[in-house]
Amino acid sequence: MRAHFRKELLEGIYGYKFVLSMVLSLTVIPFTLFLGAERNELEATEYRLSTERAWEAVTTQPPKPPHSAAHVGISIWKHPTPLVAFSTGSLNELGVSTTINPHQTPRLSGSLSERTPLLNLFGKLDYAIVIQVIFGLFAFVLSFDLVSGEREDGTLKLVLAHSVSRSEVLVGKALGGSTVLLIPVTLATLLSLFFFTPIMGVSLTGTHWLQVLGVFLLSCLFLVMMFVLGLLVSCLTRRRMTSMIVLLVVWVTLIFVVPRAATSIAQHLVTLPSSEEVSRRIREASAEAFEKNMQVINEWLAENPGLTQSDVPPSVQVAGRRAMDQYNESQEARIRQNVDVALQRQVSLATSLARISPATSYMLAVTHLSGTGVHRHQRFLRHLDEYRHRFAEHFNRMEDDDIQLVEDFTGVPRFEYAEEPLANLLLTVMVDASIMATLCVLLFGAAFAAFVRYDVR
Amino acid sequence: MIETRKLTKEYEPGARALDGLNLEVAEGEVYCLLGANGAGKTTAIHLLLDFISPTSGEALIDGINVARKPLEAKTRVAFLPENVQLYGALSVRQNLGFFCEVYGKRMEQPELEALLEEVGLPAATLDRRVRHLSKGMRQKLGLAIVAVKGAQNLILDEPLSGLDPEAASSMVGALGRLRDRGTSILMSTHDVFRAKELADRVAILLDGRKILEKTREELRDADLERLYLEYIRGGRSESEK
Repeated sequence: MRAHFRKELLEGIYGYKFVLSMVLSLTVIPFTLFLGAERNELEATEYRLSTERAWEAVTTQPPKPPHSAAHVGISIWKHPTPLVAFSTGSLNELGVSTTINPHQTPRLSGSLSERTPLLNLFGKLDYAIVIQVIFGLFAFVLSFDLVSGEREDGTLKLVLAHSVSRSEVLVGKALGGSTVLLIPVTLATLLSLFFFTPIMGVSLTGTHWLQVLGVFLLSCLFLVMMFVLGLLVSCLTRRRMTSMIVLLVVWVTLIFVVPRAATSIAQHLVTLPSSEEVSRRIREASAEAFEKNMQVINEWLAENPGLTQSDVPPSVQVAGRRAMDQYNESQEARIRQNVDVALQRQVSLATSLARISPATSYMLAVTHLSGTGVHRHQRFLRHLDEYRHRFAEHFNRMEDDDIQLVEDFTGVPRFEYAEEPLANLLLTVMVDASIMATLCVLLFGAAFAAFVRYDVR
Repeated sequence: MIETRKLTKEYEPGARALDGLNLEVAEGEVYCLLGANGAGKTTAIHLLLDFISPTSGEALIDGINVARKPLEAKTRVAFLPENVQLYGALSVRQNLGFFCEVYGKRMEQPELEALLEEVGLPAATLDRRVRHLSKGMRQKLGLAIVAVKGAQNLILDEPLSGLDPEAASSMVGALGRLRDRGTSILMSTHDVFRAKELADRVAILLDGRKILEKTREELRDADLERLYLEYIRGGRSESEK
């Protein structure tokens, strides 16, 4: 097997495909990481300044009653992640900031796509996309003729005329070819990372480095899986031209067709109410909430005949307003939760269907690990919602303590976001990593079965 | 020794690509299989190398049944396919190095140079990329690769196909030297002139059947081309005549 491994390695390295792959990886990978680093720097600065400004706005506001102060809220910005250089994920489409309102479930707005429509023009470019699209294709380019090409060239006959086992030949090809594929990617990644921290100015913690390592290992796994798929097709065809055409169709299907088709199917199977419909339901709920307020006041007026609305004491007004807010909040939360559940079902169906393509599994895993997907966004929203309750409670307590005017706002709780522990991230990523690893083994098994029966004539 | 006993191959029921072939290539003998395209020459070779399984009969290398013990039989035979391209991105040295490793051999520079000289390639080609070699040179390198194995049995499928006269002559010379060292050589060819020049025995195949077998002595004064055409057109076997 060593001989076959070495031969594949040498043949690959001396071939023009390797040179092309080297040039591409050494230019595109550093370029994408540089772009990502630049974006990270911008976002980190924007986040820092906006957060400082928002806190300053809260603490320097003129004295107001607790209720009004709570309604002014506080602006919160989503924490940027330096791993955006590795995977942009859904970051461009997801909102980045919100103003905390004690009676509304927080929703983030102001996505980068909204602020910079140019980004929507031709799609995004990041490390994961380069690996998925460019090097996914390269995996096929390096493997499509490994068997069918050697059959056409007569070398397969020459080799198999000797007493070598076919498994030895196939394992040598798989290992040698995969190594040729991974050398440029590894070199370019290492070289870029070498410059990433000191020159591109990205500061990474130990956890970030482990995440980067995870992204790199997932990329290697994906590329090896694609390579083995190419090897399988080469074992199933007799001409290199046929394998190339088949693999081109497979590549287009896996990278472009399956994810888009899965999204469309999910959209048709799980319908979401339109935004107008959601707004209408919320408006109706607000009207009903107002009725609750009026009900408290009317009850007091009924208990105190002869008095008018202007005589309603502040404690009853607060009770009425709280009843209204409570109702409003619970109804809106219910409406939004229904939408969120449907949305969640839609996303979950789309991702499950799209996982038919290992390219999607790879992208989901990398996005998840980089913290640029929907998962981190939803986790952030949950943290925001918890914070909203603490924020509202702070001012409610003041109201309960009969504080008429809030003058010192430094005691307002500050929002702190803790990133998901790496172990949890890795556990979730394991699903997609396992899909890719299992596919890799199954595809190699199929390639082996095909090669054992391969007609070398 | 290369031997077939009533070797038969049917790719589809009733359609025999090879029909009861009996042949024996003794030590130090060159045996040429002549025949038109589809006559069964390549099928016979593929059966001898276990690339396909026989429908009936036996293919033997040094008495070992190829279908039953393919790996053992293949250690005793070397094979050169038609128009082998080899690994174009690698040099002559790297191609030889790979096959040496596959065969479990090790060759130093003087041995490599001597090997190339034996097959008619200059030593300077050692570090040239194979993709830059002419077809004739590649075929000679192919012969050097099979010679590296040092097997006592050699099977060649159309080794002279597409070679210019000089390259073909040089190839025939190299094969003659291998024969002189006691190698049993079975080759298929269309080239009746080269067959007559090199072969110790010649057989003509037609529709999977051997219709003629002649020794060098029997062919000495015969016109092999005329005989070939007569038998191919007549479609009869020697015994039928």
